[in-house]
Amino acid sequence: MAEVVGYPFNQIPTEGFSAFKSGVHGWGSICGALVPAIYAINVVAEGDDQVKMINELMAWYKDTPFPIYQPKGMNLPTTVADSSLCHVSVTKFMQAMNIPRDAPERKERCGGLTADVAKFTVAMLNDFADKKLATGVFKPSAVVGECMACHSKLEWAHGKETCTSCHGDPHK
Amino acid sequence: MPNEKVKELTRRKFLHGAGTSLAGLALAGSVGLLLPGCTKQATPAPVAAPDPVIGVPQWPLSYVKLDPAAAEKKAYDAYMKDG
Repeated sequence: MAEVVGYPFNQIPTEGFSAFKSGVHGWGSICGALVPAIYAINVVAEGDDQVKMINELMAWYKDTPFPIYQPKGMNLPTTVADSSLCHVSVTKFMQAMNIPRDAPERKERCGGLTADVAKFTVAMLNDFADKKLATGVFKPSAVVGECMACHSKLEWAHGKETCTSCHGDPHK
Repeated sequence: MPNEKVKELTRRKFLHGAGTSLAGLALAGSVGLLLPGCTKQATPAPVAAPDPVIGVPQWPLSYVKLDPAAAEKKAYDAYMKDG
């Protein structure tokens, strides 16, 4: 947008997003590819449209086998994170390849994933601009509804991540 | 009403907060210049330029359709360079 439109998008220093890499400077929290994408949506959309697009992005991310974009032809395996957390997302990939974090395949995977998130977000925003926004294709995992049927009562818990990714099934 | 949403930020207001601490340092370092009796010649203060008014963009900003493939490549290149 900074290149195509210019002001005011060219007044946003993209370096401001650098702290989100590795799930916020290595904390393994939210995937750093998601944050600028969420910001991009948030800055051009409000109300229900904004919420729907961000929900769609988050749900799509957890369900999508990454990386789709592989320009170097490394034929990397794809893994589904079932989470928006960097820790979960990248660890599943590294386990699938049995590689350490500093392996070039890991960097290529996260680069491809970043490209995938940008492409998906732009395509969705284009639909939004055309007033053809169709969200709800991707949703939180069904287990979220099952868990929250009880655990959301009395404000015990909230969230849309796949509960069992971290908690397993504590009722077994 | 649109006008109620628009906030205006003058250059003076914008710089005021950041300038406060810097001004303190500057004063500490150049206190001699602020005491005319200790300087050989007083330097005339520069004439302040008029305050340009910078309008804070009204949210949400207008989106213009982009090329998804171009965004894909740009994001990949940025990550491989700085990620």
